[in-house]
Amino acid sequence: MFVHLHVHSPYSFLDGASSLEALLNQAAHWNMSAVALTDHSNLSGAVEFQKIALDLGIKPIQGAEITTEDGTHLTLLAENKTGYISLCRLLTEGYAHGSRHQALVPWKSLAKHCQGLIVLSGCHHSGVARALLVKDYHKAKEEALRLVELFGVGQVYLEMIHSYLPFTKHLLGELFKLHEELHIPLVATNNVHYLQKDDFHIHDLLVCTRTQTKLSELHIERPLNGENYFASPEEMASRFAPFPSAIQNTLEIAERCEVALDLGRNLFPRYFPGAGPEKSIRVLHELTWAGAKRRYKEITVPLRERIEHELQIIGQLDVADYFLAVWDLVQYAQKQNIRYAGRGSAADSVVVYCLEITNVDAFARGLLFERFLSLERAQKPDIDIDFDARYRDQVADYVYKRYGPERVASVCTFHTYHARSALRDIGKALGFSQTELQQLTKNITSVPSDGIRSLLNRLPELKNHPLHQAKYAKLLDYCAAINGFPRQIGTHLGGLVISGVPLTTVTPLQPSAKGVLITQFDKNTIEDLGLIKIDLLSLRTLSAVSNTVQEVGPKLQYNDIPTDDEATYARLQKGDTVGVFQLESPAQRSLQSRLQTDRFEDIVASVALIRPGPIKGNMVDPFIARRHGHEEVTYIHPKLEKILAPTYGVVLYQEQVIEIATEIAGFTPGESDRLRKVMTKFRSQQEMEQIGESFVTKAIAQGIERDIAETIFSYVVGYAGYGFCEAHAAAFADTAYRTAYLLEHYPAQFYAALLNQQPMGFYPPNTLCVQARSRGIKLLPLDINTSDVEFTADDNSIRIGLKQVKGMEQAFLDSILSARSERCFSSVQDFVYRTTIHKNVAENLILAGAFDVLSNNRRALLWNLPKLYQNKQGSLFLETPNENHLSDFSPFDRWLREYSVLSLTAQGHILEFFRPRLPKSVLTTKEAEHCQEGMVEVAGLVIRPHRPPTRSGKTVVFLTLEDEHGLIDVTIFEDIYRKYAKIVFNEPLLLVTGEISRRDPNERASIIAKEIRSLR
Amino acid sequence: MSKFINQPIELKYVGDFPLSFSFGQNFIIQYIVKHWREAGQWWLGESELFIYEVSTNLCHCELHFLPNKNTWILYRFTD
Repeated sequence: MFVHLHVHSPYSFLDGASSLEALLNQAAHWNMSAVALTDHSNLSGAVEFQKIALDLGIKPIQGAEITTEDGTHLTLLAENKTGYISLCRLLTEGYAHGSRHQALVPWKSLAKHCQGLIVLSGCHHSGVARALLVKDYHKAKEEALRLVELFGVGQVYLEMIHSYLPFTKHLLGELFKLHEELHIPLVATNNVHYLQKDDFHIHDLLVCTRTQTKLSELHIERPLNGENYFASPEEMASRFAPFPSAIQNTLEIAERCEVALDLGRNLFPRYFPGAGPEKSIRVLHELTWAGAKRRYKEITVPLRERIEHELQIIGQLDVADYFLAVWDLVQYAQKQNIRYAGRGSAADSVVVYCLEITNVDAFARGLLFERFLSLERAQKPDIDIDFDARYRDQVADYVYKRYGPERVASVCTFHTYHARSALRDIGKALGFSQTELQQLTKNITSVPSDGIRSLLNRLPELKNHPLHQAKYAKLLDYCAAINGFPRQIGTHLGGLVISGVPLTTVTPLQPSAKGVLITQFDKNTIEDLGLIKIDLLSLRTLSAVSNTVQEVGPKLQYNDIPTDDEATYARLQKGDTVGVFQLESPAQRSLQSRLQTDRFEDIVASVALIRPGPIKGNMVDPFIARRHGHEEVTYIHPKLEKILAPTYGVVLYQEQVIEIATEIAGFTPGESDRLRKVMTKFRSQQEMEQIGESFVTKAIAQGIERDIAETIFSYVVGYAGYGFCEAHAAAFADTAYRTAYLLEHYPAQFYAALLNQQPMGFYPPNTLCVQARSRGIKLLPLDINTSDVEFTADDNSIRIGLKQVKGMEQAFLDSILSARSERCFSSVQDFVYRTTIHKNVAENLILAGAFDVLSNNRRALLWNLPKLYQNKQGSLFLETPNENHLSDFSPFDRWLREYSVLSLTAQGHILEFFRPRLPKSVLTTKEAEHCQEGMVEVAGLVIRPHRPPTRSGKTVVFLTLEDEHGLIDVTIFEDIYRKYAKIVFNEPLLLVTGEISRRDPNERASIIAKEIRSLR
Repeated sequence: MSKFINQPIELKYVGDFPLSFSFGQNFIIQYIVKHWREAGQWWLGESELFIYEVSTNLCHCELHFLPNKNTWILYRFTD
């Protein structure tokens, strides 16, 4: 028998072409007792590898192929847990010594961290092989002896790879000679990069992507042949027939190696170093009760019991330190006046509310703590907190300082192949031009790369897409083959791990593009290693809130905003919510007007309702009907009333599913949570049926009749796929309501703040400007002498900020402000001479209208600009600028150019230029909004055309038309969409003929499209 | 120096070990100097190639074997 000890997976990043699952399934098929994973300079696949291998009865051997500081390769295997730690430390030091793209492990690190490692001398890039290939036997001997000296006798093997390369015969012969002379044992590997020989093409394409070459180009790293596959034990025995000990030794190594990865521990640090868990629990109790006194007027018996229940579970799970750590960092944020809001299932906890981590009163709402944490599941808590985006890194810095940089790191994420990225990379390797690739990726949405064919057949606008041509068939096959492969490692948006032990004993750390150290395990595997993630997320909405509060001044106390402001609810009822957190999409604007939102609970429900699940499950219309009393609310069993009354008998939240399972079927919290997960993901019909049987059986045992139990379970099945947590919805609803209040009472400051935080939200900046103007707010143009860096506002106007100009950089802004602080600019010449702005940015400033106050002829200013720069640079031929003979751009050209450099315009809308040419029958959005019924024609700029999932499963396109007066939403059903798909997604300006639609009298008008034309 | 031939030949072999072939004269293979495999320009439809540099009783030769066609080619003679 034989064991593969040198295997690369896709985690070798563009150097492994078969999934871990495929490789290990093959190993299991051949009854291989063990397999080693040796990806290039990382252990990212280790957890997944160990779990799959153990499930298949295979011993996983953790390892890595490292590159030393002199560029040579070594294959390292962890003999035990100590060896795994050595690997983590070596790789960390390798990245510190090399770069973020290439770990180069110093030899002195190898000397320091050699414990528990078995070393294979490596592939033909190893020090030993390189010397032998240049026929320097003496040097090869030195290299081999160096390994023995570093790692010890018995720990080093001479690696023989027989992959039919021109030098193979020579290399194997020389390695054998070394073995005989030095008595270092031999070991056979196949340096596996893919499962089967046929997969070589995929590997070659990935290598081309890595080396940025085309298939037709040569590169030293391109493989010569396809022999590095997961060869069978028989084939390996045949290849190494002259060296039987090399085969035999693979088994010996496998026998020596232990399962090295420690999973399922709790490595979170004690909040009080050196103290036991009792102290943390005691302090958490104190802080919670103190918080409870602040949060609640009276600690009632039920409240006391609830808090005690939560604290008991937290104590039993030994996670009090985690709560204290999160409390500590929000304390820091409070002291620094950094705005934050806790979200996610953590808002199911009253303790978390008392610690002021979230702003959702879980007790008052009756939220279920077990959705967040339960003894039975014993999973690790996961608290997500949004911070003002500008200061999120400051909070993260605090965590680094508080726990020490060796115990804190950002969680990594893997950028994996999807349709567009696969088409681009594989297409490039196949030699398609950039222009061709642009055409090939056009209109290809974000789908898995093995779903491109299905997409091409599904979407009508792709009917004539070039990818249908036979010559691209192979490209699509190759794209499908790499679906989901990790392409590169990146940084998770907010995840930080804090460890009680130095992180380099758990995971290698490597620098990210941003400079922070990241783990080599992502959010899906980091917890298996015993690390708990805290999500510190950036939320630009909170930055916009802070911005608004600052602009408005002390008259606005954000935390004291009244919770029942009638004007705010009136705005929601009109659906005028562009800019409101979570409530601004067309679907939400429509829902707000239909629901006639007049209480906080409506907002919570809204956040949960406009999701794929409820829409597909046809929950929205019944919810609205019951909310207005148009449909009777009935409960099939009295026990359901308490659970479903807040949502009018509709199962809307995850917490309700858990409660139903507990109350009706007597499920334990763990069983209920499993049900929630099965429902939320709905991946297996068989699993659903199994849990359904269990539900009904247990419900009968609880005294409920079978048909009632089955009907109740059918409600729960109907819920499948909703996946929304009430606590999370309530946390979002809090911010949603408050931002609606700002929009209602301080629109100029709020719109300015939103404009300052772009990109964010659903709509582009120009739409925000149109909305602001429709509220009577004057948008003041860019002015080189008046505009601030950012948008500024008073009660009635917004001034465009200099930062908005395309190409503007901080250094240029500093230069403008510094020069302006001395005196205002008197001319463009004065501006050019006194600042360090690049010419192209100065051009953009002219086009943006920044100098209109000095000279209104933008074309003439642009014409003279090069001369000004020439003169500034000391040209021998000084030319006097002359701006008299050129006429300015036409108004339309001025508008277009201004828009191109600002992404918005101070005055007017593009539709104003088209309006005179449009037939009188074409209405403005405002006029259409007032129509009660009938056919209308409306023209406008197309905003955010999209195809969300629908109840019927049919494709429906939603888009918004924007004109000089506002917005109107358009729905395009499948038959019309099929007819006009090409222009809907490709033309910026459309003329839509359609029927006015209002599902009920309160709803904002929208148009059901019947005919669509381009305005071009 | 080498002489380019690129002609199919009949070759006697055992397993994948070449023994002898005729090309005007009888060439008896004494030993294999090098042996390797190349994927070729697979993206243009080229097949895999097994290459043998052999020492014969007469000279050194480079032989190619096309596994998908089961064909041997005398590629060139070398010094």
